[in-house]
Amino acid sequence: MHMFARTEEQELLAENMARLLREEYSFEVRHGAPPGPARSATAMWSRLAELGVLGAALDPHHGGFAGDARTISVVMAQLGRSLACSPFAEAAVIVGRILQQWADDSARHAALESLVEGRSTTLLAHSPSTALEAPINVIAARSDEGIVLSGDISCVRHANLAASYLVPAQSDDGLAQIYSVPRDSTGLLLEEYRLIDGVTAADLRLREVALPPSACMSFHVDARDLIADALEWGTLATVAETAGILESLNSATFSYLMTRKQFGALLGSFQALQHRAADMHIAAEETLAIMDDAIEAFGFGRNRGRSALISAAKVIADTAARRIGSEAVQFHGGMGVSDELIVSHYARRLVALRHEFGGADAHRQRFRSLQ
Amino acid sequence: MIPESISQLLTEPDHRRQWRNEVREFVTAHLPRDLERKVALGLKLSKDDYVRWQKILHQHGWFAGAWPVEHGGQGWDLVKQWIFTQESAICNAPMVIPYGVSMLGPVLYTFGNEAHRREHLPGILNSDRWWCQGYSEPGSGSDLASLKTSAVRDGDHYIVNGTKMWTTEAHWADWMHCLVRTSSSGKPQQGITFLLINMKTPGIVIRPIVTIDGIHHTNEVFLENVRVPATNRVGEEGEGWTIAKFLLGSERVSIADTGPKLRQLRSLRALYAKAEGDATIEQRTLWKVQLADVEIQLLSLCALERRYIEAWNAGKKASADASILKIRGTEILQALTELALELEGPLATAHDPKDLYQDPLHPLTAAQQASLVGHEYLYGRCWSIFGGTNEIQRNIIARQILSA
Repeated sequence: MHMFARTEEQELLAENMARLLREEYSFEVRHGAPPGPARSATAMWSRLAELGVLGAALDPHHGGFAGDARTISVVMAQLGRSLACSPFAEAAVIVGRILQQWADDSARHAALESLVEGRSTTLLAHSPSTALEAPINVIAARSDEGIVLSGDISCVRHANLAASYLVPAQSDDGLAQIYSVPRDSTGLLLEEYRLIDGVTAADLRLREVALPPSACMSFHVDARDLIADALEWGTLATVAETAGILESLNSATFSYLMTRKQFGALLGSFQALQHRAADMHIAAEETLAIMDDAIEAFGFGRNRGRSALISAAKVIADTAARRIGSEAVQFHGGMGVSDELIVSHYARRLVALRHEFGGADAHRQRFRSLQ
Repeated sequence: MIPESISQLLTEPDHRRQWRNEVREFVTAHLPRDLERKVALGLKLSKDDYVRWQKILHQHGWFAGAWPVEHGGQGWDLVKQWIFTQESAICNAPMVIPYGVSMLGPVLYTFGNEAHRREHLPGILNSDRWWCQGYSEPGSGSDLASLKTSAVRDGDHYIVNGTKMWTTEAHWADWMHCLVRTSSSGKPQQGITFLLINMKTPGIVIRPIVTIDGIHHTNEVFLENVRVPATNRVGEEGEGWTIAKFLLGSERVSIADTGPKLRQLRSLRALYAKAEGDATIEQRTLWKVQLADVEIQLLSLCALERRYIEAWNAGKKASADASILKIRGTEILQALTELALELEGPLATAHDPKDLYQDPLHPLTAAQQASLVGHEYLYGRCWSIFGGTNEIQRNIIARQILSA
């Protein structure tokens, strides 16, 4: 199945991205580079901004050029294929959705402009491995000068790249707000570590971080709803990236089966492998189909139907990623587990994607609870 | 709220939704209550039940909707056919038995001559002439091209000898459309011919085969020196394989068969609602995840089915797409029935084939209801085998994705 019908503009965007990433961020280049920023794709962030890609996540009247689920999916699939583990989903899609609702006109304008130009990065302080409606762990207490935030958020992907964070916090009356917290705030500690797909993440520890009253952002909608909406967009982005990787992995695996010989015969001539390859193909097709329906649902704002569909898509994508990630490695034999082949890198990225925004079981439960 | 039918989660253009509503309104208004109950409960339908419903559809002009208008149809495209089939099943209508109207009809107006059409199309349309399909043989199941039933020309007749197997509802049939071998030279596919055989012809003996669910659906059909007029041959000698492939292509629109599965999901949800009260929290949590899992799988099947049918409707060839739908459709059906058994708890293993013949308008006991669940589970085992086993379907997919 083709991913879905693309507009001319989306086609052009995909082509431009593919060219840029092929020329400047090929697997060979990245693999040869020493571990560090160049490998973690941050090097490409400004190049993607120059190409205008970051504006794909924003509505035209907010300085972007698309902001719709289809365009975002095109970008994510491309990033997936090139293994550019960039913070696009986190810093452009999720944060973009939140910032667009910011009621402070001049602050919103400046923040979105900075986002599109790739000048500074803002991240939502959200633990990606929890389900979408996870409780808020940070406590906001009033002080004489303003607000004091305390609490921990574990495993914020790309946390070290951000100049500031959007921190959801709850006051003792249960009210949730989002606070803008600069990276260099006193009392904000980052405990950094590397993740399975090679990106860095950090646990954010807020130890009585004192903020002025202006740090509390005001929105046109309820903060919890806003976060839930943004995280659903983020989930869709991970599904689209997964779909892109599944396509690449399947195509690499199927052509390997048709070139590699063992015992004098092509691997692809063995029926045991043929049938497993067929199941890999089926899993990728299912992901594309359900993703396409989820994308359509994102045209109508957030409702229970959309929430159910995105959870269904995450379950199908997760299941497919598990099958295809492990089968692709297995089919490539020794080479499959080598660091030199892109296959093991795709497989590792899929593991990370499966755990972002809740795994399959969390989304099965969420799907069921929406009935 | 999540709609009762999960397929409604998928957005549908207005004109399709209108058609769906039209189908639903018609079925709701015209489906006899006893038939509706039989299908909803999962009781066994008799031949008369099917005929009764098919005649109602025919009166409305909807029985052969896929046929061209000049042959008595409505010229529905694949999307319209699919929505009709799916929505009818959701509304508990009996399935349309495909052997005549979906399989043979299109063969006759595509490959048949004027005499064939005049002789057979009216009986298919009004369901007065019942058909069965003589394809598989004791030694030729998924490897259909190896079939051995021979037809030897004798003047203006063929003399047919051999055995057909898994001939579903042959015991109801007036006629059989049949693949026979007229030549053994060349590739096995080249010697196959398509014949129409009157089941009353001397030399035909039907032996019932009772399947794993304890029910007689299917048969072995012995043909011994059966004289068939040569005019009953459709197409040329050796053209049978082409016709058979064309005929099986007509199954693609209902190959995922999501309508009955959505109906079964409704029963499964009702079963869960009943079982949940007595269950421990741990058990309930587990069931909820399992239920969500089959729901999500079925939802993705609906999405896939729609995408493929839209593509076929736009002229794309079916290729391995249909195989994907066959595999996933049957796997999901089996997952639904397996979970239903779990939810039956202590009655999970209750099963008596006689319960399939209970009065649809009288309440069933808990054990009788469980018995019907057991039947769905057992009959569900057949689906991944007939119509080309899931292994054959995976071969077909592999051929497409592993082309050198």
